[in-house]
Amino acid sequence: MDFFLQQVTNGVALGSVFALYALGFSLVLANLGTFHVGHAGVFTWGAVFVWFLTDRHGLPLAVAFPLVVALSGLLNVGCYFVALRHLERRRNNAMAGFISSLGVGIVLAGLALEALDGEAQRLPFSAFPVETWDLGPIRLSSIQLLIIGTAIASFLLLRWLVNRTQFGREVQSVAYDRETSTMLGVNVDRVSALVFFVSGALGGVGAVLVAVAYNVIDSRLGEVYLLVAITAVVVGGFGNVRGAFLGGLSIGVVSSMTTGYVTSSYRDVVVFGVLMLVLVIRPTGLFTSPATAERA
Amino acid sequence: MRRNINSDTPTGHARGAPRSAIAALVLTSVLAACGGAATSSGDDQSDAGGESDGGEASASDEARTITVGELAILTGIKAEPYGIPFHDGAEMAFADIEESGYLADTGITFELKAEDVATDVNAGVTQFNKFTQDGVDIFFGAADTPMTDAIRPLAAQTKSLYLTGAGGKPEEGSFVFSLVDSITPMVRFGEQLATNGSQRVVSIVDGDNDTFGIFADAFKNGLESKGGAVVQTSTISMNDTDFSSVLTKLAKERPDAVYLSTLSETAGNIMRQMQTQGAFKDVVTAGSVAWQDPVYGTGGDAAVGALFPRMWTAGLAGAETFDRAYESKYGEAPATYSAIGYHTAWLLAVATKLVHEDGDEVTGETLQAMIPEAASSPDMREHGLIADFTMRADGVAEYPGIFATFADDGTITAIDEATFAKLAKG
Repeated sequence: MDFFLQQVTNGVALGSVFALYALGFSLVLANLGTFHVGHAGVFTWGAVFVWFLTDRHGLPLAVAFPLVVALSGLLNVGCYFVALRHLERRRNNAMAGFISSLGVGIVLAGLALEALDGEAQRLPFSAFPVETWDLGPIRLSSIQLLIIGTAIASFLLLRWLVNRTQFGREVQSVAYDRETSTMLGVNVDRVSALVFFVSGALGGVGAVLVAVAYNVIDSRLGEVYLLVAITAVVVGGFGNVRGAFLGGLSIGVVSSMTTGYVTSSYRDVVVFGVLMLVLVIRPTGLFTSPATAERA
Repeated sequence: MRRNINSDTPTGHARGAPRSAIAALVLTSVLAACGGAATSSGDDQSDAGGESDGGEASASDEARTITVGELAILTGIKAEPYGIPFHDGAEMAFADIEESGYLADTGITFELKAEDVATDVNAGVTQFNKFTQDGVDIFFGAADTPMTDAIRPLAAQTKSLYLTGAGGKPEEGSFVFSLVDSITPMVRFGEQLATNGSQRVVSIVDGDNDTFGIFADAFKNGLESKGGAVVQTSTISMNDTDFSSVLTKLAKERPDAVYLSTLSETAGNIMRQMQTQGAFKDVVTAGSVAWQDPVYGTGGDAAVGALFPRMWTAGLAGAETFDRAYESKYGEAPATYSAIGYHTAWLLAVATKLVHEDGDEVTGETLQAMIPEAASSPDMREHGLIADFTMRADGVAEYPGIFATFADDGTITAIDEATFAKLAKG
């Protein structure tokens, strides 16, 4: 039982990273209907920013963290205006947007490689104090606590933003019908830009956590999580904040359990097998409901 | 004695011959241009020894220059750890050979002509043909196994000697000789670890690269030969970043040692997470011959005291002069492949001397027959860098390697058996 609980804890921590990535990805998908795969590049740059600020400029992580979140958000807004906004009126805008976003991702990864001097980098070892606590049968590290706590806080903040604010109502309106929203006086460009900012900021949060926890920052960091995040979105339900979050957590736990009880060699087989099973049983995703009030 | 691998092309069908000739000429030009596009660290081909400097040399000639064609890896991911150190080491050895007058009696000097082919097999084959057409029949190649596999039949066909820093593949009568032996040090390391108390070992193996599986098998063989056992193995992907689930599973086995057969960065990351998890406090961390400086760069103090085998390392007794000279010339401590490059060039020189003493013409073919004898000769023991080096007739080198650890400042430090035992027993 101890082993089971420990693997659940490990899975929730890993899944929290997937969830943060998926949340940002899902927001843009709901808003524009586009697979913004360039999100991977923004995620990578979140890690580059935190490395640059802490390792190269000696800023404490507590100071660098909010800066990284803001920079990642702004970078994603830049992606929107450069790669996606002008394609919105094209007939096949989803595919064009996907290709354009893919291009942005490749460019960002290439630039990240240059910024990282062509090597994998890491944060200073002293950037975050590492402690380990035994909580009954579970051993929890300060890094795991940071990841899980930050992911939950981000999720709750995003839910509040989407469900309880005027911005959230506008986001839902634009996601439901872009043209009607425009006629009703919603500034669609502003809403989309803000959605991209929030999405990028969430990517930045995830990237900082990955950089702290897993100690390797390279130009392909965002790509590593992209496929899993897309899977989390599909499992949770398209454009669903709660679904993306729970989808990410689920995949983390399934991944951890497969490693613990089967073998790490079959981890991806099991994860994507679960994906296929979900699509067969519930094509709309596990956590969607007829009235997706929180549809972003 | 010019050897052109296309020389046996059928020449019938007279009517089509001019067109074929033109097509062949155009094709050759294109191929040559492709080869020439690669970054070259040598002189222009027109300044090379050409055919008279290469295969045409005879034992009776005086003051001859023999061109050694190097299919170098000077760019790309393998350049820094393997290609550049290998080239620099070989270049330094040729300078030492010249300065020492070792080949003065033969009248032979070597010219190393490096052409950067990175790890592009097509570029490598094209460059090999280009060199061959210019009469070169002695080659060096850095650490790229696919390249070596592609060159192997061409070397046999043209009777060209190919000395490489890539992994070996036994082949009777081979013209390809690999100076890398990563297996013997891995087996010996497994034996040593088991002898010093690590009987229950768990391992993490990078499943994306066959080489790490080969290292793990060699390690396991050594471990089991001394009564130890690998009780659990987890396979990971090179892109994995979170190892908490794998480590939780392995910790359950209560191992004496954790063996990491992965890339250096991954190993450092795993060690860091082992430290964070706190479940491996009294467990020995062991690695493979593939470990380099980034293990410490990523793992930091978690990597200090980890044990691993190496083919060679800077700071060994007897290599001080080489270390100092290399650092003075290239501004950094020599890497393992610097030593392999240096050893390769000296092996060629010693074989050349032996061929000359036998009164034979120095060619790829005569050198090929002499390499195994040269490898174990007293001259190699005097001038070479790799201890107890032997070369089998099937083209595979054997040597025991050394054991190493990361010192407090992250320096890779060779250790003797007593220090090994101390670290292995915590």
